[in-house]
Amino acid sequence: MVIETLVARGILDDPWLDGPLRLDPEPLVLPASEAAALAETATSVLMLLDHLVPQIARRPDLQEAIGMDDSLRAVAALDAPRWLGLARVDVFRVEDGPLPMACEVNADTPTGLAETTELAAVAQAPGAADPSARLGERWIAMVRGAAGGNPHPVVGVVDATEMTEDLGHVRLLCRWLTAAGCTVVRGAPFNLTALPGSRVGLFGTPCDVLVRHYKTDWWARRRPLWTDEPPPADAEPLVRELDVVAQAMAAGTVAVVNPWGAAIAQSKRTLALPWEVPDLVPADLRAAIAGRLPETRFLESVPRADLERDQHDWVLKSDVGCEGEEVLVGRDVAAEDWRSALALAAPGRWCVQRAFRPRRDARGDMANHGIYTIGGLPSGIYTRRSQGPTDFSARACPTLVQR
Amino acid sequence: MNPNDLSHSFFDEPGLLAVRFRGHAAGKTRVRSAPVATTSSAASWATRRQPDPGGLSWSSALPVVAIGLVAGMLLMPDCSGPSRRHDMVITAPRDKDARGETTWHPRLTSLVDNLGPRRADLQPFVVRTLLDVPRELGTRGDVTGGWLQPGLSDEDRRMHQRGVRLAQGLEQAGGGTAGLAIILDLPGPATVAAGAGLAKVTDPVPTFDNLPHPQGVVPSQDTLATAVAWASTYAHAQMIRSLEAPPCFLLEGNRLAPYTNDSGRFDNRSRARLPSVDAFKRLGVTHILYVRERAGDVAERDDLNELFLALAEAGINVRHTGIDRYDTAESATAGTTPATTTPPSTPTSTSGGTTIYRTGPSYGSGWWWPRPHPDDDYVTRRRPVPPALAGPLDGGMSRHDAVLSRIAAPPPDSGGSSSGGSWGRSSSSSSG
Repeated sequence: MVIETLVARGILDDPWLDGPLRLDPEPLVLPASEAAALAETATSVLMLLDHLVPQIARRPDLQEAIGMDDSLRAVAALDAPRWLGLARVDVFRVEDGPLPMACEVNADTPTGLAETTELAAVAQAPGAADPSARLGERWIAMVRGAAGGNPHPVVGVVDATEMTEDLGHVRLLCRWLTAAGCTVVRGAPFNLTALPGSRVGLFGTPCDVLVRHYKTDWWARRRPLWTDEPPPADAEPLVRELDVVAQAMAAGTVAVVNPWGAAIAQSKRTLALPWEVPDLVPADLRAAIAGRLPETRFLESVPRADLERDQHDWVLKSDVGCEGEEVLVGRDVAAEDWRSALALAAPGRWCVQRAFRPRRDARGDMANHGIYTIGGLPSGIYTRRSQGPTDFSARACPTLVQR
Repeated sequence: MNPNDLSHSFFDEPGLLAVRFRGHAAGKTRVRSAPVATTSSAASWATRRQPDPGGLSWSSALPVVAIGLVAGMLLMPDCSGPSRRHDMVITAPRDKDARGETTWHPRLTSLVDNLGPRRADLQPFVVRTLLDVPRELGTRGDVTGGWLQPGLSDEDRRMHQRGVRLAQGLEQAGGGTAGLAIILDLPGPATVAAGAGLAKVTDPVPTFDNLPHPQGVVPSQDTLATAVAWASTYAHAQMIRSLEAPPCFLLEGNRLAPYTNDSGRFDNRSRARLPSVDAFKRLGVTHILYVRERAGDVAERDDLNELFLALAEAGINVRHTGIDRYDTAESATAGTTPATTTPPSTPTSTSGGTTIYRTGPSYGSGWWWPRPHPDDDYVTRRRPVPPALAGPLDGGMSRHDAVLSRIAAPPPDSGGSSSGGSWGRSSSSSSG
C-alpha cells in the first residue's frame, strides 16, 4: 500500500529494480543523539574539505595529485574556490569505533532527494519527525540566493536528459522550483546556447540560474580508470558548452548550482590529503575528523604487497566514481579480482581507504546514512539498507528522528 | 560536547534560516547563525557556513524577499512535460479513440492501468514514465496539457490487425505458449497498436521511458497519443484475458533515434528496460519471440545485443521475426522461402488466412511459426557497441574560444569515434 501511495504521488515511478523492490517502506527511526552524531561526522568532513578546497584551487600540484587533468582543472576554475551547495556525506554507524564514520562525499551532483523526501513523507512513527522535511525549502532558498535574491528566477535544469535513472530526482527539483514560482526549462549541456545580452539559455530561454545535475567530470575530458579499458566513445571536453556558460558567468548574468569547484571536493583522493600532505591540515581539523574519517591514501602510496596481504583491511576507490561504481571492498571480492584491480588501476586516479565494520541490524542489514547538507547545514537523511556495499541492490528506506 | 546539538539543524525554523541565506545574497561574509547550541567546531562551522552560489553578479542582486514557498504564475510547464504547450504536435489526431468512443478523456490518468498487465509478477517491469505524463499534466490543471488527444493513423490500424493475427496464431498454438514471452520492438505507435491486437491473449507490459518534448529526438508524443487511442481496447481485453497469458513487452522502437548534439533538439532517447536473464527465468520464460517491423530486418537493436546473448547462454531461445509476416493471407504466403537449415514441420492449421506451422523437431518444443522465412534462422551474434547510439559529435571543438582554449586539444589517442548525448560520457547510470 505504501508503494502504491508513493507511485501515486508521481515523483517515484520506479519502485522496483528488475523485479524486487528497491524501496523499503519500513521506517528507520533514529534517536536524536544518533542523528546528531551522524550530522557531526558529516559536517566534520565537510569542514575539512572547506579548508582543503581553497588550497587545492590555488595549487596545480595538488590538483594533479588528486587526479584532475587539465580539462577538469579548467572546469573547476570557473568558480573555485566556491564548491559547496547541496552535498551528501555517506555515513555509517560502526561496530569498531564509538563515532559514525564517513566513507565518501558527493558535493557535485548528489542524487537520492526523491527517495529521501518521498519515503519520509509517507512514513509514520509515533513521536518521530521527518529530518528531511525542510530540504526542499532550503534548497530553493539556496537557488534564490544564487540568483541574487530574485524570488522567481528563470532556472535551467541541466542534466543528461536521455539517462532516465535520475528522472525522479530531476522531477522533484523541477516540482520544487515551479511550486516556488520559478520558471523552469530543462535540457542537456548540448542544449545550452549563448543568447543576447551575454546570457546563456536553453531552447532560447535565458536562464538566471543553472541547476547543474551533470557531473563535473562528464564536462571534462573523459579518461579510462583502468589501464586495459578503451577510451570512452566520446572523450572530448564539452568546450562549446562550457564556454557559453563561462561567458555568461563572467558577465554576471548566470549563477551555477552546484558550483563547478565541487570537482575538487568530489575527488575521493582529496580525502587522502590529511595523510598524504599532513601540513595542509591544522591540528584542530585533524582532531575534528579523528575517528570519523578512515585513513585514506593514494593507491600509489601503499606498497602493492601490503594491499594484497591486507586485502580485507582496505577499500579501493576511484577518484570520481560514485554510488558504488568503481568501489571494491577488499573483504567482499575474490583475491584474484583484488590483485587484478590493483594491477590495472590507472596511475594517479585511485585511492585506498581503511575498511570499517558497519553496524548491522537484526536482519543483517547495514545502513548507509547519506546526510544532506545545504551550504554545510545538515538538512536531510537518505538511508539505504544493504547486506553488502551500497550499490544498485541497496534499498532506500524512510528515515525519521525521535523528537 | 552535547551530542544532540546538530540534530536541531534538521528542524530549525525557516525564518531564521532565511537570515542565513539572505546575508549571503547581500554579500556579507558572516551572518547570525541558526539557533543551535554550537559546542563543536563542526557544528559551529555548519551553522555559519553559507552556500557557494555561483557566478551571478552581486552588484545587480535584487532585494531578498522572505523565504517560503510562493505559488507563482506558471509561465512554462515543468520538466515533466513540454516546454511550450502549443508546440507539441500529434501526427494523426482524432476526436475518437480506436473503438470509436469519445469518452477517452477519463482514461488519461489511468493509462498504465489500462495498458498494464494483470499478472502481479509482471507489474515491477512496467515503465510508467511516458504513460504517466497526463497525470503530471493534471497536477498543473489540465490532463491533456492542451495538446493530448487520441492519435490514430491507417498504419496503426494495419499494425493492430497484424497483432490480431499474431494473437490468432498464439491461440492456435494453445499450450505452445507456455514459457513464451513476446517483445514488440516497433516504432512506438506501431507497438501500441499491435500490442492492442495481442492484448486478449498476452499480458502487455509497457516499457515506454522518458518524456515527450516539442523538440524531442523521439516523437513519443505520438506513442502517448496512440496509447490514448487504444486504451479502451486494452481495457476490454484485460477483462477477458487469462491470468496465465504470456507477457508481451512493449518497447519504443524509436528509442535510439539518431542524435548529434543539436542544441535545438531535446534528447529524450532511452535504453530498453527489460528483465534480466535471472528475472526472465523467475517469470518462467523459456523462449522469446522478438518482433521487429519488417521481415528480413529483424536484428535486435543495439541495446539488446548483450541481453540476447546472455539469454542464449542461459538456454532461453530468442526467435526474431518481422510483424509484416502476420499480414494478410496473401502477404503471409507470398515471397517466403523455406528455412535453409531448419525445414518447417507440416502445416497443421490455418487461422485467419495465415498458415500456422506447429512445432517441428528442429524448432524445439513450444515454437509455432507462420510460413517459413530466412529470419527463422537468425542467430544473435556479438557485435561491437556502436560508438553512436547516434551520429558524430565535435565536442564543440569548432566553436571554442579563448576562455577554455587550453583544454581544447584532445589527446592524440582519444579516438575518432563519438556519440551524441551523454551515454558516451558517463561511466555510470546515475549521477551519484
